[in-house]
Amino acid sequence: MSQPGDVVYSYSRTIPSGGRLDEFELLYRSQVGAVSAFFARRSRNPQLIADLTADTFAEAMSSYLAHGPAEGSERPWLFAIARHVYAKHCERSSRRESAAIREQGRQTLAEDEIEELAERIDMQRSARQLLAALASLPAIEREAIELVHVAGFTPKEAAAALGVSAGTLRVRLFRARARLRKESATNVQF
Amino acid sequence: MSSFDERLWAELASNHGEPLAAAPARTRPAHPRRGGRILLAAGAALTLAGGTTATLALTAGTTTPAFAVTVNRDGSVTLTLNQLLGAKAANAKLASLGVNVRVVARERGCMATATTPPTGPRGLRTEHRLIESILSGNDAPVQSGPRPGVDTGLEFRIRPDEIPAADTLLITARRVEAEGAHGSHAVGMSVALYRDPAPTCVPLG
Repeated sequence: MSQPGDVVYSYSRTIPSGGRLDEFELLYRSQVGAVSAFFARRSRNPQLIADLTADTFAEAMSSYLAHGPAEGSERPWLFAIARHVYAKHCERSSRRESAAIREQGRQTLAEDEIEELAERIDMQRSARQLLAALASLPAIEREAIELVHVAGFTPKEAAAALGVSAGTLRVRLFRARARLRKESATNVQF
Repeated sequence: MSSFDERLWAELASNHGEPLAAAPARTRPAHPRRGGRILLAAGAALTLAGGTTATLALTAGTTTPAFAVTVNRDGSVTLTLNQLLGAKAANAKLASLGVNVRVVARERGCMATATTPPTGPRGLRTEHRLIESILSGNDAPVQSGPRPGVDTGLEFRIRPDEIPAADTLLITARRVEAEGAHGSHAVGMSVALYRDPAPTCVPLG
């Protein structure tokens, strides 16, 4: 039986700051919208987008000190991680493990968060249509088009994110554009 | 940034930020360092009448009030905390609204007889799971985090109807200067339910 003045419930948590966490926070704040948009082009499920975005930044934080990006290459480095996270998710999905894993310890989104992510999903509608139209292209060409023409990467950044040389990226882009021009079904101009 | 972005950063920094915070900065960040941000939560709250929305600034004559209390349409109460000074005015406003929530200092000289939060077998680990469980639902009695869109301050969204009748929810604050290896600053805060009469301060330690 608790007495007057007794604490019957308590909790506190302090968020660390300083050191290289400040540096990472800048990267997070500048890129979290783009990373969640990357996943919103692949899913219309706000919870999944939230989880994959969280996974991407968690993985980025874990490797930032040991295998962090060179100065100026933060964005391609981060998107390479996002691609890796999405590939892992697809593998899990194919093994039907995803749902069970997702249920472990993740916060359910609040209503306002769902609304915010739903807006991002809406904003990516045309990009999703574009990606669907590119389905016949090889994956790397599709992703090259996405990063350069949708996400606004320079070809050099896109090459770094995709783990190919700049020359290879340029060739892939050229081929993808040529194929698309031939496909009258797409209305997209490159 | 959106509330999702802010909440996610709080979660990431809390769960994965320590090694990065401990590493010497490579370059100075472009933005001025704020005083540390805290994610707070607790289980409890009380009842407010009415469905109107009113924002009540608790200080006058400054561009940013130290505190603000907003009665939301759904009956919840948002307490915005910008500074650690001015708690007396905030508490007076909360009291006038019938909200059993108070902001008090956690300080070395406090002579109040209240006990500090439990740290034994039923200490933080258990409490942590409990609060995470509470926070995982949309009906969490108290939710808080950095104020969306601004670099300073904290917001507490309180559901007054869930604070037990004989209890008061205390938000305790402790300013920590130059804590940490690299001059980082933090505001140590905690939230706890106390049996009435609740103490007017909480001793450190």
